[in-house]
Amino acid sequence: MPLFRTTRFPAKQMWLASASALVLGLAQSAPAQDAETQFPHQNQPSQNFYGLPGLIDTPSAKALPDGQFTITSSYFAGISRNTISFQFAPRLTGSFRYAGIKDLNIGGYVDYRDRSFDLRYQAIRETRIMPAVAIGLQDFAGTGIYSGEYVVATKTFQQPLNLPGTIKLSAGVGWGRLAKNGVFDAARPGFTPGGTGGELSYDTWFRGKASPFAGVEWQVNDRFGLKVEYSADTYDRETRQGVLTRDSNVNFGAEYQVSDRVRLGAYYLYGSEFGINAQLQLNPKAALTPSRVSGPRALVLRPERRVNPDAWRTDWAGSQTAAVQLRDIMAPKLAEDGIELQKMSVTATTAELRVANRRYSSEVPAIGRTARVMAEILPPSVETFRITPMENGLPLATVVIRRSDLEALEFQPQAADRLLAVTGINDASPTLPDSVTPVGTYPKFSYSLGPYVEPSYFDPDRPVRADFGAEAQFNYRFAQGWLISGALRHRLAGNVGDSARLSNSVLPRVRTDAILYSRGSDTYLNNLYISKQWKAGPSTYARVTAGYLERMFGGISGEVLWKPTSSRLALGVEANYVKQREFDGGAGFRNYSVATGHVSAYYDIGKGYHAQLDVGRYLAGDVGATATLSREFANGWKVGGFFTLTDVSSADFGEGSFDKGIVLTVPVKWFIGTASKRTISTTIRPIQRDGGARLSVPGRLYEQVRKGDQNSLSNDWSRVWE
Amino acid sequence: MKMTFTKIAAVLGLVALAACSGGTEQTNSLLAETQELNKIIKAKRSGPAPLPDLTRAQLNDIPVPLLELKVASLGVAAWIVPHVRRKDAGPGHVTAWKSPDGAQVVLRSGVLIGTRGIGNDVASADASLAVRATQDRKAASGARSLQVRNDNNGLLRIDMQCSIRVVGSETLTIVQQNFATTHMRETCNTPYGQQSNDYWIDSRTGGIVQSRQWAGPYLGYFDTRLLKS
Repeated sequence: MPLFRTTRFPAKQMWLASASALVLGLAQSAPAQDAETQFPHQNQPSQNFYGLPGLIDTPSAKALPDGQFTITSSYFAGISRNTISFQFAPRLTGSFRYAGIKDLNIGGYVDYRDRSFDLRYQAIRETRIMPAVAIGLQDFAGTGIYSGEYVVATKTFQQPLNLPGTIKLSAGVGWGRLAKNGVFDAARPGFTPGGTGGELSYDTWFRGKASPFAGVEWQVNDRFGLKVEYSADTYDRETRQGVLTRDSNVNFGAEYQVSDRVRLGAYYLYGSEFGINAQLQLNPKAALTPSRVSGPRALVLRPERRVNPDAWRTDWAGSQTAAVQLRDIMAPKLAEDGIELQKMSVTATTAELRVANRRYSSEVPAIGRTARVMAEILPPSVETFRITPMENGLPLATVVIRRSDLEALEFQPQAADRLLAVTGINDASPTLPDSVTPVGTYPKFSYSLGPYVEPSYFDPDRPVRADFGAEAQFNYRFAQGWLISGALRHRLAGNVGDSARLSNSVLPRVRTDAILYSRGSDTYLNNLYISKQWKAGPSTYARVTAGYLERMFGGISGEVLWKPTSSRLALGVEANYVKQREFDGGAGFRNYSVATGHVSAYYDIGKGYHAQLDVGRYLAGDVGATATLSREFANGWKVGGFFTLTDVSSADFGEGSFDKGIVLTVPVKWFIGTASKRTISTTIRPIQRDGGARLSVPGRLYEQVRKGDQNSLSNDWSRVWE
Repeated sequence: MKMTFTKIAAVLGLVALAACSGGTEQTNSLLAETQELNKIIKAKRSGPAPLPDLTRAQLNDIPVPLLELKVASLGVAAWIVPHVRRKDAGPGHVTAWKSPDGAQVVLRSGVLIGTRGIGNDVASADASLAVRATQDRKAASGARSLQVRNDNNGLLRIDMQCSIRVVGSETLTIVQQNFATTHMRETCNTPYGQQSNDYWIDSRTGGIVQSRQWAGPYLGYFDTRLLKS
């Protein structure tokens, strides 16, 4: 019989689907999360066909729970809409939509496909008496096929008239798309099929005819919901082109909540068409699998000084070999916890360890576990622990903890907050004097062999294309801060190069030749470069990189970053001289070269919001600026949007008018629960053109430095005892 | 090139099978993470295996104390052993128990004050009220607090108003051995409704031999039985 036996069956059932770029998971009966999302689907409004809270084809004034991320896919009469929405702030919802209309036959396309952005602001929150009121801009910057604006109010009634469940009444006024014949209103410049789009169409907002719309949603019980609405959208263009016949203003629907995260619906629209809608909602704050890191080693207490004064002697520190001996005992113990000791200095009363975290998504658990190893091994006279997390040779910040605080607080109420209150987080010194380095710290070599996916979105002929294959990657670090890295790829299958839509750009084709690169060769060098990064001063970092930096460009890149650990503001300068690489992905270059670079300001606004402004010269030689705003969750989720304006005219830029997109990062830990630093990132641009294109340099400094700054460490501090 | 779904799946499958990494620098490998995901899915399909029956003779052969832990919300049942035992500035003494897979449960004189390595862990708790009341076996009331880790690297602080009273004398049988105990119940008003903790205190040693305690809204109730002290 085994002495110990652990059995476990996680409470959630899991369904997994993998798409080319996103991996989404759904769980049934997820356990309670924080107070506001304890029973998620009771607080989350259902989505409409446009992928925003609403009825069927009309919006409501409801907002999603803060941080909620939704994916909605709807279909009726050959019209498909796929929408990603994100509750960026408690009142602000943003959406990105990819829609397809079969057999519309306009603008030279048989099946018309288009991208659009929406914004909705909840101006008034629902109270006991007042309804919620929201203002929305639909398709406010695209070519405008769905362009419309609305003001809508929604009131919720719990068990009205002795009926079971909840009833939500919505009513509003719509302009443009949402008004009767609004899209053909002379007061609004019409939608031009095949126009470049992309520019804010604020001159037409809330102009022209307006029509009312209204609807009722009855959530009968936890599972079933019924919807009926009056929609003024006359689908003028679609009915003229024979996409659908429209016999009624009234739409009906029935929805079923499959799990907390999944809702399915079936509908009868406009008196003639059946439709379906699948809604997926998830919240970054509620992990699919709760984070679970194996418990830490015991914190070993020192003997009391009056009981064992001999143990507290300090003469050991005079020994030449003491530091080396302590290093050799501590390094393997740290390695058990996924922490690599890189440098150490020790005196009779103070020890500093510089460590690289190889396992945890945050630096904080690595700091806590380093402190436990120090408490176990270092002689009792060492009272001050200094722990410096290292990122690729850069000392990030020095955390100063008193050993007696560790000993006193471990099992106290509010242990993490109390420890933070007596912990110092300071700028790390560039070098550590009188230090010892573990044997075998350098050189270090690692390699990996695995799959890669290179997606390409929104080709009008085939919305999702991708190349798949195998990638061999290596890193070689031969001294502190030095790195030689490379990746060789071999394409096994794919259809990116099958696209017939070659670049029509009038600018230097710095990004639009992706199809030619895909056709160039099945085996190609994705990158191969050497870089050196170092800390130049107490709060200054520097980097130089040279080689084949990315698939399309090679050259030399230099960067300097100023970022005091306690500062919310960081400033950086980057200068590059690069040459365009050959399509075949070998060592050769084409005859386009450019000096490109930026001055950047980064600001940590607080509560997870981050802003970035880059001003400089882009790859095509255009001059301008990029603004980025993102929201980050402490567990590693990140959702952001950016746009770039340069001196290239809309006409020269081509479709989209200027560069913009959204960035999404999801930590692997969120899915699997166990410690992992890996993240999945994707940038979605409605269209990739040549204007406002930035060089993609591996290892930019800011993201490396920021994860060890005072804000990041304090925000994650609750993990210090884990 | 025309592709079919099966072809893509086969290619990706082959590449994923071949995925590997190595070298002298530690990294998380994609393969290990994929395996972890598989484990989670498999574990969800298979039910819990019950703990095997124990006899007092078998227990007597075990050289260390043993605590039985059951967490209904996770479907976990485990026998755990002491990892750390210490006296600190708080009342009673602290024992951290650990399971072979790295999970830890921290009790202050039998009252739950922390968990680690479980997920949505109890980060800390103020348990003095229950510790003193169970030691004295006298009714008491007052404020308590519990801090629980959420999924966003943050803490959820739960403030509670609790009162604890004696329910009566009960005799428990734990693995063929009878214990005369005092049953005490602590009732707490929390933002998550009323929760209650039950403690059975050994009349002979004054220690808690069995308990049912609330570990917050994520983990629900922990059942403990001290099989061998």
